Amino acid sequence: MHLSADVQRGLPAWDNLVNSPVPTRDDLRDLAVLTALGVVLGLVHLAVRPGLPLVAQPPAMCELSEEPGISLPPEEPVMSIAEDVP
Amino acid sequence: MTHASGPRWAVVGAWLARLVLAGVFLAAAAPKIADPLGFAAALANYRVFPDVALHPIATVVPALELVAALAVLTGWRLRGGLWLLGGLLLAFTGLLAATLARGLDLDCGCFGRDAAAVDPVGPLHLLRNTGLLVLVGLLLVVTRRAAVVDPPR
Repeated sequence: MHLSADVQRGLPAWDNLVNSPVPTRDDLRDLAVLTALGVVLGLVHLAVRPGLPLVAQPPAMCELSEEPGISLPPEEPVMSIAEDVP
Repeated sequence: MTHASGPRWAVVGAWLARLVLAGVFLAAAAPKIADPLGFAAALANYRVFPDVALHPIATVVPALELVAALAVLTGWRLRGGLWLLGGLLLAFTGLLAATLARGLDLDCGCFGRDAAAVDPVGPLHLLRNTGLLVLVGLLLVVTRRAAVVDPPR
């Protein structure tokens, strides 16, 4: 029987060390635990951090009912096409 | 803690890759955790997140980076940490690629927002993230399931 060099040196064969990268059930459980831990830590940070509102303020915008801050140039009178028609 | 022996170069390489990944993500998480408002402002520039989500994202994403980096560094739930890092990297890379495709010129914010050292989004960011993704993939292939690659003695 052929033994690889690793096995002859008392080490596990490289084939035994390499795994398929497809996630196993254990991997998914670990991922879920770490994700939950991160989300909880992040939300706790959001809740306890002073000066950090839960929701970001949208950029300041003028309301439609307000006068615009910039004065607009006077509108040019629009020529009506109908006037040119005899 | 279980031990995974193997070719010495593989054990050393895996440990180095874990150090690199954990170091990069710890360095990325720390400034964001210290200045979540700055990170939220950097996120707002991408113009893809609604205002209501900016602050939760600005605190949860760095916490996920921190947890994943510590998992990869310590070996506690190592493969879960690697999957989490891979998911974060994929999300970051997609966001950066979309930003480049839209032609937006903005600060990456990858390591927090530093007004003194603006880091505009560019192809090098994609290259860096791709390299980190390759490291994650290699570690997922090399590490034994439910086992830890210990540092060389």
